[in-house]
Amino acid sequence: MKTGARKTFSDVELMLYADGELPAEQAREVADWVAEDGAARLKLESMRQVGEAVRTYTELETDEAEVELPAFSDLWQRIERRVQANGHAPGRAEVAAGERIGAEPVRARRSSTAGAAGWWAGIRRWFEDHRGHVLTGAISAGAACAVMLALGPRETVVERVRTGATVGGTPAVLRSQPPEVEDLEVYGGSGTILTIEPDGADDSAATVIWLSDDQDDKKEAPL
Amino acid sequence: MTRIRRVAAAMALAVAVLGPLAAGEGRAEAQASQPAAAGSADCQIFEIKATNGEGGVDPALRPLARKLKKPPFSSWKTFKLLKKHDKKIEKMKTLNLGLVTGSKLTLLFRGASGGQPTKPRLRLTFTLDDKSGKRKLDGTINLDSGDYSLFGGDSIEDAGTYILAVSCSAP
Repeated sequence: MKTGARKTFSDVELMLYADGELPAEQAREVADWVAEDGAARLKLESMRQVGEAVRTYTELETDEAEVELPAFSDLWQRIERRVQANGHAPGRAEVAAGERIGAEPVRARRSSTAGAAGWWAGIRRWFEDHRGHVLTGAISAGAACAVMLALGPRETVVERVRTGATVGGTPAVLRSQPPEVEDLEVYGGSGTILTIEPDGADDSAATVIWLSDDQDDKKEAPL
Repeated sequence: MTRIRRVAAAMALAVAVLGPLAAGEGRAEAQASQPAAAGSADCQIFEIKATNGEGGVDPALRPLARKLKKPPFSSWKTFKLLKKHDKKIEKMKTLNLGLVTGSKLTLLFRGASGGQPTKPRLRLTFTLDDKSGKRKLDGTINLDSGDYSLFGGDSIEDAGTYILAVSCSAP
């Protein structure tokens, strides 16, 4: 409202100014007017004090309600998240994050009343939150097992056993055989057949035919 | 079509590589199990005089030294080579050999059969007649190539004992 040369403003405009909701040009004019008019300045100060008192009271009441009524806290957080999400429903991870940020008093109350059941609920909640990871891991492990079973063992263990016939010796086909007298005829005396075994691999065997005279055993028969 | 060609080429390569190996193995087994086709044998005949004098074993008798230290040859202290004969004997062809004692040795190489790949089993027939032509003994021996046959019992001059050693080798 404007009177004469001096420009004046209504209480509503003064309230908007106090709340900082006027356009910049109009806010400058209101500021000039408040600077020159003591009554307007007093009214503006009163409006600010009343507004501050109302905000303080509201915050206190809200905090008290959140402590005493958990549902109220959850509801309020959902509303905030919905507003921040621009009207879309928030995801599970966002809900969990929101709980971590804004519901500390409620959580403290829950932990004190739930007691030992909390850790089990925590485990369940963890599995619910990571259901996709757990399912993916289980499917991957199953697929790997199936592939391994389908392919079978890749290495074949061959157990070699040495038989007693060849341990530390030479195969029979490579061993030297002693000489063998197929037939022997001694005329006018008798013969004794002896076999000398070889001393080692570099030695050879020998057959000894020793002739004796039948008439005189002490006398050797001439060859 | 390309795949079929690749498979065929791989099979041909495998046959080319593994075939000679298998054939070589088969040849080795055949050599071990089948008689060697030896047409002749190289024989060494040692005429030895054994006494109880000083002297030991003649260095020329080194291949026989270890055998001469065992019974019944351990009864003598000295072994001296009287004569050595190196003879090549054709299969189934008799070797007639006169000895220093006047006796006569005949040796017949009948062939080789089996035995080790490097030491075939030889079959030898021998006869020994005294200087008057009287048969003293005859017989047949199967022995590995390189093994020895020793005949003893004849006394010679100077209280010595005559020993005849025969060793034949075939490839």
